[in-house]
Formats: sequence, structure tokens, C-alpha cells
Amino acid sequence: MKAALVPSFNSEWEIRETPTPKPSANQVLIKIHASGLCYSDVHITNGELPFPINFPCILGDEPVGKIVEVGEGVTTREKGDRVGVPYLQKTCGRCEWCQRGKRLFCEQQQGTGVHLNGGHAEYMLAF
Amino acid sequence: MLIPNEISYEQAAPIFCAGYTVYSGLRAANPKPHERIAIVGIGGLEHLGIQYSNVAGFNTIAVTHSQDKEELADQVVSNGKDLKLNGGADVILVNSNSYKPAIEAFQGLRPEGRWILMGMSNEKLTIDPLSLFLNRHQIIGSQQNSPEYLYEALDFLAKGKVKVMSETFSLDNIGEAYDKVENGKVRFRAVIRN
Repeated sequence: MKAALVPSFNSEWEIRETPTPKPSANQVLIKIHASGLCYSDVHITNGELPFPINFPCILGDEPVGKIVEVGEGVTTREKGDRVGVPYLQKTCGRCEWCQRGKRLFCEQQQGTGVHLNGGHAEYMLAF
Repeated sequence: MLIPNEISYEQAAPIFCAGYTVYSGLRAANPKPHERIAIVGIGGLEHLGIQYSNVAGFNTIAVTHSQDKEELADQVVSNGKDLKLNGGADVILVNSNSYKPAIEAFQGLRPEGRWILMGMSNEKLTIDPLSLFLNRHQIIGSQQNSPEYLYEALDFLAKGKVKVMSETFSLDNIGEAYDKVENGKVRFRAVIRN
């Protein structure tokens, strides 16, 4: 697939061919139809926010598109669904905040475009 | 989150961060009927914040030097002093990554007003403690908060009450989009269309 890869902090994004990912358990593969470019993408590229980024990465925390493949264990989404993915994708489910239904405070959280690749590409995985 | 069929991909994308964040901030302010909502600056989050506030029935004020927002807001003021002279606000929504105009806007925050911070920055915040104390102001940090707000933020679009104003770019031209976003030249959101 084609993707906008960010090679490192303070570098120019590069359009490159990269392998289309396969969904693992509880993940879906989304064909991206639109992806918003947020100022946080600029902040991250310029190293202005204290996020643990693993370069090279794909940014974009406003991805929307159609599900083209579902991984094992996915029961509430199916191929052909029109979906969007917010920042917060995955949390531990076990800490105090997860148990209290306040997943946004989970310290193990995995976010779109920070811990997980984002939407500036032809395809993207999501939990 | 499933996207309602009434919303195009291009309209839906900016709701997943910008719309979600600013709508959650408005909800975090817990505004009451008859209250006045001010939104500082202009951009992706603000143009949606003005519409969400309007459609929820609040008197909505844009704090900006730009004339671009006149068509969206009930009232436009140029800074905090101007906001105070023109009736003030009970809620100030701050989305910018530059805090100076938002700190100035404190002058226009009415007693018991809430100043809601959503904009990320590595700048420090310096405010007047006496004014905070005397006016019983609240400073509230807010992010996306809870998926119910994403559902509601999308639903306003599905009902045709809120519209994203965006510029589209191809993935091959994402560098151009990046430059426009970095320089604050995009009106009001850059969307990469595949």
C-alpha cells in the first residue's frame, strides 16, 4: 500500500510503498477513504509533544473508511462497514480507570497515530 | 465507531478528532440555558465548536481578528477586552496551541465562568490568581472524554445541523496539506482523500 511515512523527528514525510498489514485477533483492516490532518501531526513531527513515537510511523488520528477484512474474535463489525477510528483504541481493561469505565485515563492506552499507525495511508489496522 | 450513512467520508473524518474534542469540551463546561459561549481563535476545532454551540441553542461568540467566522457565530469580538465590553461569556473554549489570546480572553469571563482547555502546547500558562479567586472561575482541562460525545458529534452532522468546512488533498500531495496546516493557512481542516 501507499503511505505517508514519517522517518524521524523534524523530517519531511515521504510517500512510500509499504506492506499492507494483516489484522490480528480483535483487529479490522480499513480501506481509508478520508483522513484529516490535525495540528497534532505537526506537533509530533516537530517533537513538541512528549509521546513515545516509534519511527518510521504513519500519523493521522482522523481516519475513516470501509472495513475490508476482520480478524479473529471480531463480532460487532463486519466487512463493508463504514467506520471511523478515534484516538483511543486499546486499553488494558484491568486498571482502576478501565474498570470504572474511564478508559481515557488508562496508562497502558494505545492511541491512533501515536502507539499505532494512523490514517495517512491506503489501509490501516484498528482495534 | 460506525459512521451514519448520511455523512460522507470527507465530512466524517474531522469529527473523529477535531469535532469530538471540541464537542466534549462544550459538554465538559456543562453550559446552562441562557449562558454565553465564547470560542477563541479560528481553525478546525473552532469552526465546529461554534456550530455545535449554536445548534445547542447557546449565544455564541467568536473571539478573533479574522472576519471569516462572522457567518458562523452570533457575535464576533476581537479580544478579551472587547469580549468584556460586549457582554462577556460564561464559557470560553480554548483550542489553540498558542495561549496568549485565550489568557487575554479571561478578562471577558463572567463570574462563575469556565475556561476550558483543549489545545495542546508546550507553552506555560500564566494567569491572574486574584481574578480567578474573586470571580470563582474554573479552569477545566478536557480531551475527548467519552465515546458518547463522538456519537453525538457525528449525529449532529447526520441531521444536517453541522457541516465541516475543509480542503481536500490527495495522499501524494500530503506535503502541501502539511505545510498549509503548519502555517495556519487551511480553511478550516485539511482532509486527505483516497
